[in-house]
Amino acid sequence: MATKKFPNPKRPHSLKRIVKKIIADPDYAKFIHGEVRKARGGDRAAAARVAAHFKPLRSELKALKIPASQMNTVLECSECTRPILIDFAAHV
Amino acid sequence: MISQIPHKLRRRWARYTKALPFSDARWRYSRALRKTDPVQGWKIHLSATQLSASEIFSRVHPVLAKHGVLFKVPATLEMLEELNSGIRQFSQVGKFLTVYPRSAAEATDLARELDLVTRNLCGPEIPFDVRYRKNSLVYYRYGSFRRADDGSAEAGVIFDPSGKPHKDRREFGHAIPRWFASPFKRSPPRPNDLNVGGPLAPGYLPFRAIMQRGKGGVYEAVDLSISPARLVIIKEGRRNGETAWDGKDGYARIKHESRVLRMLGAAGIPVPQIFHEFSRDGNQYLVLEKIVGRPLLQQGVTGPRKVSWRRAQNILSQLSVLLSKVHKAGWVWRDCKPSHVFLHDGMMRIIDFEGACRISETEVLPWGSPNYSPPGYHKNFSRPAGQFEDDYALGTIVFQFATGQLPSPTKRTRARLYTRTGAPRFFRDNVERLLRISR
Repeated sequence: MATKKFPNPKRPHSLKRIVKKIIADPDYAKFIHGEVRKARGGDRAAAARVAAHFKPLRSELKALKIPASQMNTVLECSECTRPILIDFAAHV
Repeated sequence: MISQIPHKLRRRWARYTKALPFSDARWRYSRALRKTDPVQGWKIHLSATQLSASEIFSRVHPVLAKHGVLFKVPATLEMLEELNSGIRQFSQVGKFLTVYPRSAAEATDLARELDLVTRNLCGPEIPFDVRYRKNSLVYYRYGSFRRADDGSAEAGVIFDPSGKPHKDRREFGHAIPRWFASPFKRSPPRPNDLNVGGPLAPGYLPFRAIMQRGKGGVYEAVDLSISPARLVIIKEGRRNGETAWDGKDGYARIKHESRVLRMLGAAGIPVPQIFHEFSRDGNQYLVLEKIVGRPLLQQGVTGPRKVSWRRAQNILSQLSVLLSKVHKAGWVWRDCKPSHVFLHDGMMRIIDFEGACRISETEVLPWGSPNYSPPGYHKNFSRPAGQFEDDYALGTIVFQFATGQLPSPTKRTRARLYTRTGAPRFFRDNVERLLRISR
């Protein structure tokens, strides 16, 4: 079954907001997960879609206290096909 | 023998730092502050564990002496251990040696030379500094070289070129002020490691740090890899994070916890289920079921709102059954405390087994929270065989719920508290038997 598409929001969701949406709407969770996977595979359009849907606030990232090296990965991702915070996890 | 390692290393550290002429309660300095020393600039930090500190110092000292630069190191290895725990300030993890160069040019020269002489040695990652090079022990940030008058290291101030003061923040994104260009050569970009190493499983979105310290963070996250998405707990074990005297770091502890959880789970003990386990950037991660329910007490809360010996007796009955199962499986938990015991619909579940060891193990460092460990326990470098840590912790929890206080070391004070709460004889005897173990 094809994953439901979601249009880009006016502004990207904060971390708190996207978590709420993901928990509340399994279709949205599937959509975001699918886009992240595509972005990881090198799909720039998918990466742009993820970036359009999700941009954690600086205060949210600070609160996570993730060390700079891991955080750089997070921030660099919005401009490339590398993952965002969602890709915190890794190898199977 | 583990117990010999700290003595040898402490002696070596004392020998090395004896030559440093100035000291206060916490630090030893290479020289006195001079009027010509700058008040702010590029600080260089070197990272070390208490096991690698002496070796690193022996290599960098000639370089620092050649430059005649001001630097400081911890007065004791215990202080370094405390810094690396990140319990007081996470931003201070790894800051074993701080150098105060007199110019940007000196800072870059020093960083290059210090990096060269410390290659292949190990230390924890300094959370919010910039790493000089991949895997380097050398880090840098722009900051104040003076402590504020109130003595708080956090209260330092740096000035921009117009003279405007800014708080010197030891936080993410503040290592290089926006009004300065870094004089250090930009580190080579990190390889896109996400596209190598086989199939990947994207799908965890951490949104809350439950804990963050040197050994690693504990995060609440959403697992997107299944539908509907579920909440999970991700435990992180950092390589070289809070390395103990026996060489075990955050990475090793998470690996160990995974093994213990699998064995306890197989024995039917209600511990969190492991969903996934993986390594990333040298760190180890454990994705666990998020336990439903509330802990007996939140972390840091010393007593329940209402005290009742009957409730305490109920906790004793339930928890002692769980502990017996853990012991029957051959393990001692060693981290039994109210924030690690969850209650849901009258059922208890227990978490956090990083410090668990085999009942018969003796060559293992003490583990556990100070309030729930037998008196004097943490001064040792080994343990006698048995389950006494769990028994003592159980006695402490039950006493806490019956009286609202942690057990006093004196029997008379404890007796007074029992009387005040109307606890019957059999209850007192049970609790006292548990607490007596190492008194």
